[in-house]
Amino acid sequence: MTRISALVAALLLVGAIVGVPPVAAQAAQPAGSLQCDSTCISSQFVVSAPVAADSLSVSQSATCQGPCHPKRVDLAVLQVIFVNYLVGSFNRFLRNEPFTYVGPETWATNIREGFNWDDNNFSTNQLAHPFHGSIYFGAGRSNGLDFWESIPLTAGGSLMWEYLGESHRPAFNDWIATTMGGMALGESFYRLSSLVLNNESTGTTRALKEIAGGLLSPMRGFNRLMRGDVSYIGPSDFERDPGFFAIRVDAGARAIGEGESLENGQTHGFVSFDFQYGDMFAKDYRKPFDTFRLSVQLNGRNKQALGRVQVEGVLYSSELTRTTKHLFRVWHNYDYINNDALEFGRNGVTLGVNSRFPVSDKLEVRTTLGGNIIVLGGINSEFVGVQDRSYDFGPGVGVQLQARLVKSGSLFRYLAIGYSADWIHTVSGADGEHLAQLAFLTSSIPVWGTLGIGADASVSLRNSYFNKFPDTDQRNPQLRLYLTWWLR
Amino acid sequence: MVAPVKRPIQALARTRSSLAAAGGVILLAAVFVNSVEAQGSDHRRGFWAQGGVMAAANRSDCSNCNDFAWDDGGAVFLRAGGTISPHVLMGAEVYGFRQTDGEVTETDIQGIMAIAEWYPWLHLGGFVKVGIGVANLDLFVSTQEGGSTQSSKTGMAISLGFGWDIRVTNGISITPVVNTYINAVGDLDIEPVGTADNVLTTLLTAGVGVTFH
Repeated sequence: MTRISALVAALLLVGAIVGVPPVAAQAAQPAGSLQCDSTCISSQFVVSAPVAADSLSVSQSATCQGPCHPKRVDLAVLQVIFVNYLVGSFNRFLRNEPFTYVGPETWATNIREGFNWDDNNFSTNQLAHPFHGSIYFGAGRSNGLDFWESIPLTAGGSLMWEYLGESHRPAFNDWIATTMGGMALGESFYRLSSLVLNNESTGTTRALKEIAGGLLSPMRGFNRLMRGDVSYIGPSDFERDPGFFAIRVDAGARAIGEGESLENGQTHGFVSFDFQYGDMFAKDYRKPFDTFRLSVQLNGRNKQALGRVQVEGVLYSSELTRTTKHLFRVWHNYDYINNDALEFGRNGVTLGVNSRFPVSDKLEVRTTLGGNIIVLGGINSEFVGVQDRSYDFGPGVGVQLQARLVKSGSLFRYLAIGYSADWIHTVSGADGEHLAQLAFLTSSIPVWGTLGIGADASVSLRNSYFNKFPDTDQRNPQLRLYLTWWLR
Repeated sequence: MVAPVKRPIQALARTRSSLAAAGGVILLAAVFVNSVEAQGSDHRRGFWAQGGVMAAANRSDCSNCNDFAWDDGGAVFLRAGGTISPHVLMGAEVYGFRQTDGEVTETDIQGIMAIAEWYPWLHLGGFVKVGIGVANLDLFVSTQEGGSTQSSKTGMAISLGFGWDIRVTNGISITPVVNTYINAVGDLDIEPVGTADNVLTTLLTAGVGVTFH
């Protein structure tokens, strides 16, 4: 069996590499369907442009800048298969996980019996699977597929894993989380890697950029290595200027309580990173995730160090007025919140309006009003009844309201207030409904340059209404005091 | 614990036969399509509607069930919406399934969902459909007294499907389709048997419809 595995691995690896011609070979290719991002205009334009003297300069300037590889759906599919093979091999040969003992018999059983719900812990289902999906998504993006085209690839890769990569039955919740979470994380990581990578860099800086870009988007790193892009010096053939980009780092203490007061709880350190890519009011964005926000929080002395990962990526944006004062937006939500008090995960879409109201020459209020559609959410529950699982699954809807007082050109939120409510109808777990609410008040002010101090106060409330068990409530106040540092 | 309802193995064989037959028709249609292609995408604009009938097989699963069987049946669907671009149609779909081989139990499913149909190729009629919405499950169980009990529950539904528009006139296409509808309704109280926990049904369909663009 090991020999067969090694043979399969070798075949897949060869397949994944073959057809990834290095840059030198690419240069000889005609402008077919080249992978163009920001510095390229579709080569169809070049082909269809009239061959006239006055248009020649346009055609030349529209030619793709950089290595500009053609779209390779076949390679993307092969690489997704290879990723599944690698993950399966890792779990089987290094971790000796029983679920990896698969073959025609388990495949036939899984296809015959189909989806059910699984009992994995919260971080596996709501974080590890989305991360796995982000690898599939990266395989699509780095082979020239656009955002939308990479979704079926991600969904297909997940289906393959669920049906063929595990001996137990495919889990419906895994498929949703891997696909939708993979979209959010995969596109975010791909965009961030574009900011790090720079084809014009040289030397040690270049090497470090390639390593960092590869860590952010592993399949992109793999493809750049195989194609020789890592050593190509010249223009970058991908979006490197989102118009606005900043990272906010908060580090401090976090007290989280139970019930009415903080006294019943614990106080620990935390550090969080907020990546703001693009400013919705600054530029006319067209493509999905041209603006997004990725937030990551690490909690000290908690059951999981990685306590929060959230992505909000704009899928569609349209001006409601002639000025960019009110924007209708559709954005993709991915939420993973896992700490001693709360388990909450969400994959969904929000439709809403973002507005800005000038208060003075320098100050403005920005507001968000949105309605959430939760395709599948997960929330901690007292009576799950699915083996050791501690949370229920279900679809739902929600609302979110936010108002922020900000200074133009500054990254500090002088004052922000918000409220969100999500209703989840259980379809796996304890039969019933959950209402999760969060209210917060936050303020951060500059102290020295881009360094400042901040404080948040929030209350999260969960009301669970079970059909066959007593209703339960959970209330957790939280206070955070921290230093905040903006990097642009 | 829900007592397993044993179904004859022939049911699975019949299911496969009907789906295989439907699949064969679709395959033939696809071959036919290639010969009449070069249809262009100019007809994909404005309002569109699609409806059809399908052979179907449904499998209901729950956490405390220990028997898995496929039920034969028939299904219908109706979709309508607007054209976002020559590549993308959006709209709504209603669908229904009725089990036809029920002996002890019978299952009906009705659903409504928001859908998107994506045509990857401008000049070909092939499309991928995804949808999300709500579905209702009705389970009828025959009692020894000759009557039956009905259990109903509404939950979420997700659909993934494929189809191919075979253009017959300017605005009308014949559309072979295959779909899967996954309906998750949660716990279902079944009288007099007990409660089926975390019920999830997988409905596979293959059929043909008519599309108006």
